[in-house]
Amino acid sequence: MLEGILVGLSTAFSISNLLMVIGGCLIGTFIGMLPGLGPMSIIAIMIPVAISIGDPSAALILLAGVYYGAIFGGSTSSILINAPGVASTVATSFDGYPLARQGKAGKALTVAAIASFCGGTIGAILLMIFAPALASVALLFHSAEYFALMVVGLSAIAAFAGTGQVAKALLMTFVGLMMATVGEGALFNMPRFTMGVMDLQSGFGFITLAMAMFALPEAIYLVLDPSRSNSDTGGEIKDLRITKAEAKSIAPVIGRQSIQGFLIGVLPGAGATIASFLGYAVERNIAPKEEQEQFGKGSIKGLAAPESANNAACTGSFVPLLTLGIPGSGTTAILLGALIALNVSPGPRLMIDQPEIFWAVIISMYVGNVILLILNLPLIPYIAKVLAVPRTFLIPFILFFTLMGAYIGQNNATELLILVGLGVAATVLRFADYPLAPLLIGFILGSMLEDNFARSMQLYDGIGFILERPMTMGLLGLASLLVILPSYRARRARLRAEGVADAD
Amino acid sequence: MTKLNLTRRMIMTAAVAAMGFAAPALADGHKVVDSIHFLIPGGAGGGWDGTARGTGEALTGAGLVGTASYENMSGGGGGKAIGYLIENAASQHGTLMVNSTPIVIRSLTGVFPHNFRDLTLVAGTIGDYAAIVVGKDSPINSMSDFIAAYKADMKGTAVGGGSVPGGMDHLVAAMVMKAAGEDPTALKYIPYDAGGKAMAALLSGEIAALSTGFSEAVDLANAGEVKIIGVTADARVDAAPDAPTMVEQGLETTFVNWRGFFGAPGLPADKVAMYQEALTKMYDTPEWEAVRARNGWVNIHNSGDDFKAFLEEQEQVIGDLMKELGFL
Amino acid sequence: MALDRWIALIILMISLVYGYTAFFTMDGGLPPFMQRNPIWPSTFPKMLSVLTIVSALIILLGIEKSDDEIKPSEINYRRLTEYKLGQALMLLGLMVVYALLLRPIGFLAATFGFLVLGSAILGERRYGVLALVAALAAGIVWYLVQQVLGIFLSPWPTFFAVGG
Repeated sequence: MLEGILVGLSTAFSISNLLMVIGGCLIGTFIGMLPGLGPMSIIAIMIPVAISIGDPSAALILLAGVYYGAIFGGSTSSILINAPGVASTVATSFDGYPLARQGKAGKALTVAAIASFCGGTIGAILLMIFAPALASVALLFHSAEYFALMVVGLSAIAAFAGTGQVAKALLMTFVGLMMATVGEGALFNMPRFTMGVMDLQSGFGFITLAMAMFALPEAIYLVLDPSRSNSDTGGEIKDLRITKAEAKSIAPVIGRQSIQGFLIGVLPGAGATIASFLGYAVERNIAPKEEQEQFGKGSIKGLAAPESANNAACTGSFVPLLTLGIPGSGTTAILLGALIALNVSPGPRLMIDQPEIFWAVIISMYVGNVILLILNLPLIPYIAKVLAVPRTFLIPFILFFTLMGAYIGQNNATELLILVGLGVAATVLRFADYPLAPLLIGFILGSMLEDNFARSMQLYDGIGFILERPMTMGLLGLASLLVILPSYRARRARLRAEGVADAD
Repeated sequence: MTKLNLTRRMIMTAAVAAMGFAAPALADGHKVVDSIHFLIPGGAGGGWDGTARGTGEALTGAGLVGTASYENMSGGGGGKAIGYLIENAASQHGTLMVNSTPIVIRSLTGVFPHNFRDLTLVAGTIGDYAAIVVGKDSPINSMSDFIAAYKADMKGTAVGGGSVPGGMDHLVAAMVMKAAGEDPTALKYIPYDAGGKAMAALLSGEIAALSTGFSEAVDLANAGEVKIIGVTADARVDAAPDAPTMVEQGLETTFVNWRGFFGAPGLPADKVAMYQEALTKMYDTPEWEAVRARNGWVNIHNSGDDFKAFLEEQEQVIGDLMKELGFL
Repeated sequence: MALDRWIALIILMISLVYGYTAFFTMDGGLPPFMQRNPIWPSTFPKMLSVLTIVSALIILLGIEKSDDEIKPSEINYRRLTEYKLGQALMLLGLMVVYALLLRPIGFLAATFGFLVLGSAILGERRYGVLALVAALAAGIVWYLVQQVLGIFLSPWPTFFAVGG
């Protein structure tokens, strides 16, 4: 192994390859900020450039730089304008945007950068040591377990079910799940609930819904109430640095979520989005009560958890890719295409036949992460300054970005009308204090939930799979624990506050 | 195919696809068409996208076409782009739309209101056979093994695929079962939304066999993950000479998933002839050979009336089969 | 009735229609081979519609005990007219117009118009700066997306872009 690492290191640290990483990171970061262009499309776009380089190691190093850059860029738009461009950064905006609203945009970006860096780096180390051993873990989960995992992911909505808000959070989740059933699914040969609208035949678009639920209502709020933008976020970007106490509080979160995220990423049917929701849900539920209440309102723990989890998961998804040749996510599927075009076939034989490629990939991840951190930390104050642009300019640009996210690469103008319509509906929901995040979580997890449930039902000819598969039961048990535990604790606290004798 | 399925093969075509606009070569000597605008009925990264961009790359690289541009228009599982081409026919004389077997299947199921007759048929250019694969450690080594296993345990022998039930992969599996004299509607078909997930399910033992595209199966077999137990070609294919055909195993099943190009309705005859000429000449160029080999495509060229006859026959065969299977 | 109950009522109506479709009309078109499956396209929607109806009713009937102290919402919708409602509505209208004109007049003109009018609605009066910024932004985004990334964005009005 040591030999392999050395070969990988010497490859990665040549001048030309370092330039590749730097170029890749910069390109990835800037394009990744545009909503609508996630890591997957950016990598697809960069692949011809990578292939024209010819040398597989150099090409992979470039792509790794682009990949990490894109993930980082995606978090930026989530934090600054509440516009998550890809599903895995939705959880980032839960706490990242509130932080930015409190004038802590710089700090939020720093936390995100560091959490991403740690997630990616710890993931790379785990990948390096355990990749061959984890290959079998990747195949441990059947559809039944994936179904249970989605249920665990749904428990993240508990974070938005405050006192007296439980029914509202649930209702929003169900509406999200209902919206996920619109259009053609993977499982049925007819589109459902399209009401005859052709544009709904493929269902609601993720970007459209994310923009309509998060970015657009926020922009409308900024318009309605001008004091919102000026007093809170305008002017100075305070607090760029993370204090020692803050560092201490997020370090265990980052550590736990890097490992948890990595393991979820290893599963080909889960991926970074599930990892980020699970990371958020778990960290919220194990946090002390006073910190728990901060989740969703600008908790740095709530920001660090999904950021480290989704980066570690991205790294984890390389396990099935490199050891089994199975792409677990859209992005790794594109990378697989690139590898094949470069005459590298990932699979069980890769480590034996072409060890230098295997190590170059891992080392390039590591280098990509480091370079990204070095490049971006000094840039953060300037990126955060975006919010200091006068509102007469900023707001039209936010609206324009929102529209572009739904339009780029689709060229379907009707999507924009759907976006505006849903955005108005979302704003009205916000007026009445309905939380919007559960709707989006329900929508994102909905189709995976239903698909895996349906597959299990078909394979086991009925609901019996829950009893037949102990791991499914275990995961479902975990999900109920995650939901019940906090409400039990809250109840006990309330009883105590009311002076009722503590029976237990 | 029906949605943006990110199977290995498609991603690869996407990868290559993206090269289309990176190829600036303009050898002007034997130019046939000044410019072509490719309309792609799905998003960037799908199989249609790869076909259009790969074809454009070869055409411009070989100098047969001056410039190529690409427009992705998703919506309605491809129906949006078809509708757009028909509604704006008069201004779309410079446009070619890429499409494939699902246009036939989906017109039959009524998913979209139009069918291929509403468009001007230019040419079918490439194709891919279908294949049934099993995991490398599976005790099943041939179609007869598979059918024996299926007869022994019908409920436990599920076949997976990347299309919806009633879609292409399911259809192929059902055709095979029918040829084996089994009740094709009794087959347990489990749909997955992406090739990677279906592969993981095969290797983890959730499904017994996988119905997939041949070129994708070849990649997987080369990686040492799967055994190909049946191909829907007439004769063994060079890319994988060890893979037996369905026909040689006594199962009369052949199937080709074609991809080709369509023009707007009422496209003038001289324009049609020009596009057809460019596409015909393309097959002899080294640029096309490079693109084709990289993607593992099979040249299946049907121009004009041949294309029409081919599509009508396929519509007939698939339509009959779907009725028989109760898919319609 | 408070706004949140009105919303619950509307969602209730939608889920009733949704549930009706799932329970009574969807299964009619199910092809015979799928009727053998233990799960139908309508199974999940059926469960969902029941859950949605129940939770909408909980809100509508006020069954869940909510806090006595109603936390002040960030924006009080009862006094919506005291906010910049006109600007917000005009911007939304502008977005609709943008969506409708984007294809007919092309990306560059539509975007330029959107950015200039959007800023003007918000009270920006430095038209020179405005025009410059809008033109630059439209041009740069188009150049990046179309030329650098190779993703098609029709820049000009359709009538003189025959053949793209």
